[in-house]
Amino acid sequence: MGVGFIGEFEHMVLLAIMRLGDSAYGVAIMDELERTAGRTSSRGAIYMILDRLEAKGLLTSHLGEPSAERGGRAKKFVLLTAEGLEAVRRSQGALRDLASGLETMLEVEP
Amino acid sequence: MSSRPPRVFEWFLGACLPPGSTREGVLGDLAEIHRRRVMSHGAGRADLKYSGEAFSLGIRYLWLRIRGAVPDQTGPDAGDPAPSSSPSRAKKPGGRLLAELLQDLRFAFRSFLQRPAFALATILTLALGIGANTAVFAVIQGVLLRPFPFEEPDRVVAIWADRFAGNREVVFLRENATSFETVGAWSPGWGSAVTDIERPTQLEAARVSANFFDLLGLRPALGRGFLPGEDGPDGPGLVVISHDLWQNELGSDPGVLGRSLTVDRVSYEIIGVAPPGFGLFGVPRHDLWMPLPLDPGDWTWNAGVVQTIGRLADGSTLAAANLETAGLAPRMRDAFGEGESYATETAVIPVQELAVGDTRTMLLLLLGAVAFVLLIAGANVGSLLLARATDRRREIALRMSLGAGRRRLVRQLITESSVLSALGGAAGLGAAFLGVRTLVSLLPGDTPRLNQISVDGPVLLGCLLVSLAVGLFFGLAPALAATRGSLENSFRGGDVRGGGTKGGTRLRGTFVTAQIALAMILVTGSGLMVRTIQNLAAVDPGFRTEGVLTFKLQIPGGVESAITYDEIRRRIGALPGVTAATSTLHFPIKEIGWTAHVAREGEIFTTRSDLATSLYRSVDPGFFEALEIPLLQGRLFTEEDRVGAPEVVVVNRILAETLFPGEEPIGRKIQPLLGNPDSLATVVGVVGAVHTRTLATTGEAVLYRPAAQVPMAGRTLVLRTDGDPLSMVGPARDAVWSVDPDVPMSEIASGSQILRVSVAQPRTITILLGTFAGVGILLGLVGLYGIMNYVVGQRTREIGIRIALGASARSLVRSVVGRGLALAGVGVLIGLAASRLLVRFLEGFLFGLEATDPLTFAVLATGLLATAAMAAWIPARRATGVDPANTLREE
Repeated sequence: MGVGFIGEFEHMVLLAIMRLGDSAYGVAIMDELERTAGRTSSRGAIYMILDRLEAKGLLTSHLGEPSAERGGRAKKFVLLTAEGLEAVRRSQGALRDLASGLETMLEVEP
Repeated sequence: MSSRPPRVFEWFLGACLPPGSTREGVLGDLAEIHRRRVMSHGAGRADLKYSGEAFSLGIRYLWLRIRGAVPDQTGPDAGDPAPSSSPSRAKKPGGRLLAELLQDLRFAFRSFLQRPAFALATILTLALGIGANTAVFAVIQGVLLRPFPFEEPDRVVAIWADRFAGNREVVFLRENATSFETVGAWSPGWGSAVTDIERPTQLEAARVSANFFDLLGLRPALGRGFLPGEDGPDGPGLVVISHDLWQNELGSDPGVLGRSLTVDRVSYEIIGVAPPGFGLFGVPRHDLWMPLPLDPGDWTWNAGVVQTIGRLADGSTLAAANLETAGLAPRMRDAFGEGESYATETAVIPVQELAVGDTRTMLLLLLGAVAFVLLIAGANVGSLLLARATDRRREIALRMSLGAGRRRLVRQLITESSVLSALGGAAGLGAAFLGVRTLVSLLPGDTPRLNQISVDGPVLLGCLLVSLAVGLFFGLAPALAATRGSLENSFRGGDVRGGGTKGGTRLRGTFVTAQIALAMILVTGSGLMVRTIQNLAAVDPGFRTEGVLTFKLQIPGGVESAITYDEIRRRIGALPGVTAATSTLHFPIKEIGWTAHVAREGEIFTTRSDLATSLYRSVDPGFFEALEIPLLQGRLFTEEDRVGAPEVVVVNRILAETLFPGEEPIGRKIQPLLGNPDSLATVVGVVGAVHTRTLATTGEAVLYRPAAQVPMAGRTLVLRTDGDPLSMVGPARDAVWSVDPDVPMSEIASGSQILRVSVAQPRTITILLGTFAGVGILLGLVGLYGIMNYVVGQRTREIGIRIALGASARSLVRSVVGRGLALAGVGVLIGLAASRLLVRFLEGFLFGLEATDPLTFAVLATGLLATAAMAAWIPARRATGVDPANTLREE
């Protein structure tokens, strides 16, 4: 499947996963989004996005060790695939290109 | 505090999630968040939030899976980093079954979207039935089934359940009975004035034996319970307060222990706070627990004021305890010098049963009635499914001819009905949340544990099971009927156009007959209750309640209190709008009050139980006049009947006839024995009999004493007003507080409110039974209308030909309505026969008529048949509109 553009929230989720490195899983991703980007969302929305990104091949997942804090359940860790990284780059690049020349209006450093 | 998420929702979410890493990850995440929330917000909030999230996530995933948007198994097994979403389902045993199930689910949803009206009608019908049942079940769970918050609550028993004992019995059983680990006692109904909290308040106090809290295995939220010996003759003044009192009046002060509380002008030390929500065996409210004086010198020693309770000893059973107590009764009788009639009944029952009392019968009755509603709704759904399956006969036949097995098709049809009933159940759950609130508001205010009613785990589970059972039960017959029969029959044009089978129509007819029969039973039940209410409303209680206002005052302190009362009575009596002000210790119907034994002067008796018994009431002058209780002989009380004056009594007609049959009662001397015997008093008057307990019971002997000669701390003031009695509450309160600002005023009610409260239980039954019957009839008629409409549609061709051949519209209508009436008539007959058996359960609630009242039965049966004729008439009219030309063209 060719990697098209990703949605804004998908983009944010992928960035959050990258920031978390190899410890990205549902709860951590939500916390990260809230802490860094101030974005809160419903748990359902996050899982739907993660499933979709995984189905698109932008993410891969594996289970960690079960732990008592989680009622004996494991964490489902996610990592960006090469396609995932490519999708973020492309989306990021497109945004940057679109924003070039608008720095004063957007009040950002060029 | 457990950090485990609510199981039902965890299970639900687990079932909805696709197996594999997604299920593992999502369940784990939610468990982690739940744990976090327990720490920060407490278990209650965390559970609530978890339930909401699990439910909405579950529904989302279920929907995705049904649409096939999520693979049925995602991800690899733990620790195995293989690419996700590999469809490996076929390998697992049961995988094919699951795949087929999902296929069926998808198919079901698609077919509902094609026929939304059918799906909606089914779901709404089921929601009504399941919702009503879930709501009633929630009430039963909260009131009857939920165990008391005691240690091993089923081992806590009420000894001698049907009567209040004296402390001597408690001590005797404690020393002699071996079936009990411990024996204790509690004595309710000690109204007390507490004056050193924000405003003077009348609180409900109970006196309990020192072992009371230990016996129940109850740990106070704060402090301690009573210690052995603290219930002795000169026990210290200690009090355990309720959690509510601590929270609402004492600001949840953690330093409350050791603080003093002034109860009836005596200072008590607070030693403990009871756990939250601890009510006492069905007594609606208690605020204070104080030690009972287990002292042979105290009047409670041989007066009937305590309920004896015990905890069964290890290895002992209820039956053994019953046997032992019965065996001890004669010994107690001898030890206390009592007569033959003493302690003939010595039942030992679980304390939970004592608490629930006759509410159990009422709730079970309502559960039965609401189950009928569900059956009627289910029959409607069965009928709808059958019609639908018949419509799809051609599709089914085609699939069978292409090799689909009957078993597989039946399974698919049942999946459809189960999905419908699950959706109906979900909608019903929503209805139940609303319904429970309505139900609680309709139940009598003194129903035990009203505040415990909620839609919780067991109720959800019950709702789920009922939903599934309905889907299975009412889906099976239509599924079997639709897949029965030969293929060629189905393909033959005529049958397809006719759209049905004889067997299917017969089954629908059976459904309708059953519905009408069930509705008939509900209708007769509610009809009998309506007549009961009418009869109760027509009862003359023997006193006038119009314009009467009553409220309780609690003024501690013997003779001194009598002076305060007189002053309050005088000031209230002088208020404009008040025509009379008097007081009584117990107001008729509202309170039963005390029972005394009565001896005639010179009467020789060995034990009290040989004597006549009578209710004992102390009243102020003006009481009989204010309530218009007629004077039959002699005189009423006057202000002259006070301490120091000759002791006098007024008796009611029944007591006069019991004590002095055929003789002149006025001037005779009698001696009331209540706890300690009164002195001899002269009968000065005979008054009419009033209803003392309920509007339904009458004929009790009553003895009245002048309040001034037997002063008591708590009294009910009775005012007669010449306008709206409740408008006098404010002025009366000002008058009370102008005399003594420390006197609490409580239980404010008008006379007619008291009568209304007394018929709360029959009224609740009438309203609910009537509602259920109404819904039952409506559903039954919809069912009847449905089948008649269907039959007419089926016979379009025949009708068209008959019209072409000159049949009159009237004969056609008659034929269709006749068919409908035949179905309904059989239902009514079956219903009537069953009613005669079933309304016996109602007998205890009826008043003024027999459970087999022929008039009620006849009127209701006729009414139901008439409405059934209407329901059949509408489709019949349609039949006459058939255009014969169309029919003939089709031929």
